[in-house]
Amino acid sequence: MSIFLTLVVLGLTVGSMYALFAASFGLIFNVTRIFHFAHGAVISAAGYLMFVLVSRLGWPLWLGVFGAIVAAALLGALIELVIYRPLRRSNAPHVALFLTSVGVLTVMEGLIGAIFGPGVVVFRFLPLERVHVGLFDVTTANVAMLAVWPLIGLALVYLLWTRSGRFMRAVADTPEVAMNIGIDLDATFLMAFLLGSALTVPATLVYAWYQGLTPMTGLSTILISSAAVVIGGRGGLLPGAVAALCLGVVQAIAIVLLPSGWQDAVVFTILLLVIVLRPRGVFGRVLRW
Amino acid sequence: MHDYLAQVSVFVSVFLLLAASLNLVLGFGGIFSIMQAVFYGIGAYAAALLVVKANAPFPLELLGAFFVSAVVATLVAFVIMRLSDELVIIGTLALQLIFSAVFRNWDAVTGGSYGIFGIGRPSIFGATIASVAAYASLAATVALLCYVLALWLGRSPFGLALRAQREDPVLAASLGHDPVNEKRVVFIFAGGIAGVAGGLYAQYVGYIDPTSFDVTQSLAIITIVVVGGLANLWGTLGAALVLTLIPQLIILLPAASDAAAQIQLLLYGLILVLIVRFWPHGFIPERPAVRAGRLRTVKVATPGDPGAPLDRLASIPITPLRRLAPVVRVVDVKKRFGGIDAVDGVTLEIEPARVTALIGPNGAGKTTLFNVVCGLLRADGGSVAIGDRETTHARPFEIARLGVTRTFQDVRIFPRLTALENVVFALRDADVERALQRLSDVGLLDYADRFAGTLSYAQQKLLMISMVLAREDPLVFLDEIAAGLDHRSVRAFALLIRRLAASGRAVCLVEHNLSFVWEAADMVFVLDQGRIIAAGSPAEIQVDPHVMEIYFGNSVLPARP
Repeated sequence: MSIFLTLVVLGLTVGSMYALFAASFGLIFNVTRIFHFAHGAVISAAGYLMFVLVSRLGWPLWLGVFGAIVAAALLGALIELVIYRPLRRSNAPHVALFLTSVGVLTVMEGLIGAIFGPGVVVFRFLPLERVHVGLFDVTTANVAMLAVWPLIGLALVYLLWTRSGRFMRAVADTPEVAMNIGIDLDATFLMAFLLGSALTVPATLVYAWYQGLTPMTGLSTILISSAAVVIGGRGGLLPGAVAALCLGVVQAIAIVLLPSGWQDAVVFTILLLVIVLRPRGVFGRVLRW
Repeated sequence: MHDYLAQVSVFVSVFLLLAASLNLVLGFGGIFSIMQAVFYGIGAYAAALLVVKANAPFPLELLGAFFVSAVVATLVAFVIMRLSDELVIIGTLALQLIFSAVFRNWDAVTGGSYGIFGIGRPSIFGATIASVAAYASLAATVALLCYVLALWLGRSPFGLALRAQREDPVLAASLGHDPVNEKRVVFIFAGGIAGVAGGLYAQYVGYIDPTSFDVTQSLAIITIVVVGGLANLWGTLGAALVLTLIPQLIILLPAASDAAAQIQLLLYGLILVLIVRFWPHGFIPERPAVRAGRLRTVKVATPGDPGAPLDRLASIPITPLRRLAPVVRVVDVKKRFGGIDAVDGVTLEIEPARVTALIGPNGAGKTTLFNVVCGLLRADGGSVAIGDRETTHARPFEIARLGVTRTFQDVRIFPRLTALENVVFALRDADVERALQRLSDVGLLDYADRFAGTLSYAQQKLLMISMVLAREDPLVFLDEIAAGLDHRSVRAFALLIRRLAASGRAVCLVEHNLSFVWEAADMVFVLDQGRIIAAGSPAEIQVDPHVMEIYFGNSVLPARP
């Protein structure tokens, strides 16, 4: 029983980390309706950049993280400006945007693999220690993962109470109406990419601390966060974040119930069931933003 | 060096099969599947097990690979084919990841992450094909056979139907096709072909593991298809050649050999981004399945007055009917949208050899009634029968197959099919000669090879009429066919429709253009707020004070011209 509970707690922490990835992807997806797979490229790039700055060049951690946040935001914005925006202008089919997005992710995977090799890069900027929280035995990284919730809260505050946040919600809701009342779509999209990309960095930091980085990091994080966003449903970043939290727990429980290696299959089976049975997602109606 | 070339040719064969099969699904069928590597993998495992465990001789192991992959594709097709386009992407991606996990973890069958070793080369009549060169020619032969089959399929009426439903599934169904079923068939066939590719691969390398069949591989196959052009199998051949050679050449570079896999990823990604970024539409250069050019044996009188092509309609040839059209009986049909009764208990008959018109103000429920009769909407109450067949719950393509041709408001054609292909698709027997004849009847012969989307509005309308006539159906439902026509053309249309009825057909119009209705119709039903408020001959309706009020307030209707 205690093993089971420990796993649930572990799942909640890892799920929290996924939640921030999902919230950032969900923000961009809801506002722009682009299935932004290249988000994974931003995640990978920021992760390896932090590794280089902190572990190789010896920058202080806070400065490395700050640099990665700036770089992630810029890379996200660059993808929007150089790739998506021209494609939108030329009325390209939706599939075209998705394909280039996948292409960007693939390029980043290849680039990182060519520079750092295909193996795991360990990034222990702090020692990964066991801690006892009440009855449970977890690592310091797991505790740190819970820190994403205040960040998601901050993002929500921004979306609910600032002018540009309201614009974003308006665009996510009905882009045509938003445009007719004078909201600049391009500027709002760009803002979503800047914010969504920057938001990934704290999650990437704990991810790298917890399990290191590989060229596949971007792909695996984007797969799980996009799955969470689809499972959660439309309606802001909360449905995806909550779905991601649930997926974390389900994955952890799957470790006990199934032989190891099947956790991914569980997540994507859930995804498949949801899109067949509830194509509008599970939480979209209940949770708004 | 010879062995090296032979090896490259094996890989080209394998990837040609994978990309050509995916192009049938993606380019022709419009199904955005990201799981072609799954069927590749299933075929590889099936062939490997058949060879290792059962010692299956050539070509049994490849047939087995085809069969097992096709069976799995059948199961998948029933799950995903009803999903919306965007969800198909996500659903197939999810399936790819699920199957990847199965390959990695189902140790008893797939050997887990270690895979399966010691897969022998095939033998024919007891003689093993041991040398790389011999195997390469065997693989190339199999690949070419499958490729030619794919080419033939792409150019066949079935390939045309796939492209048509990709453009507009509703229109395709109204012409008697079942798009979901057509998509299933091509998905299953392509799954089988990918399985054959897997079998060829497994027997060449002699050892398979899950990494060869993961999501990255599926994306690589998509890249080949996109580079070669959707629905363009010759392009696929070229792209498979070039993109398979690139990684083989990278391995030759001593400096790059360590990171060959990464550099391949990088290149594939770059190519994908650049192609789609700079040719967002151009990456879809269609190849028409039939061309008029070399088939043009129909000698037709040059059309007369080219300035007013619609005038020609009055004298267009109409195929006679063998039997009188069946009666369409609509009894107490109801259809609600939310709280609104769009159609509220309509009863009427559409009789053969007559033109029946439904008129009424906007939102009266005319088109809704049309859509219920044609199966596009499901009635909430009442019944519809065509002849003695009850069709209340029949699906659109089933109703079309009972002999109903319908048009949609405005013009609706397949824009990325040529004019000729549009008509060939509409014909029941897909006979190109007859399609050309139909096109020349409406004066569009010179535009046969143009994409329909590039024709003018009037030409598109003529094309639509040409498709209606090509169906030769006894029941013809025309939704606002006279909209956007000038006075002369309206008269020509009215004459054409009178002649359709005179041939024994039942014609039903939904119309706003009243002078057209007075001229064309025998029987007029006036709908308002979902109910019939008046019925009778045009002469009777024209003097009905109630109808006048609905249309014009209290003024007087225009008299017949």
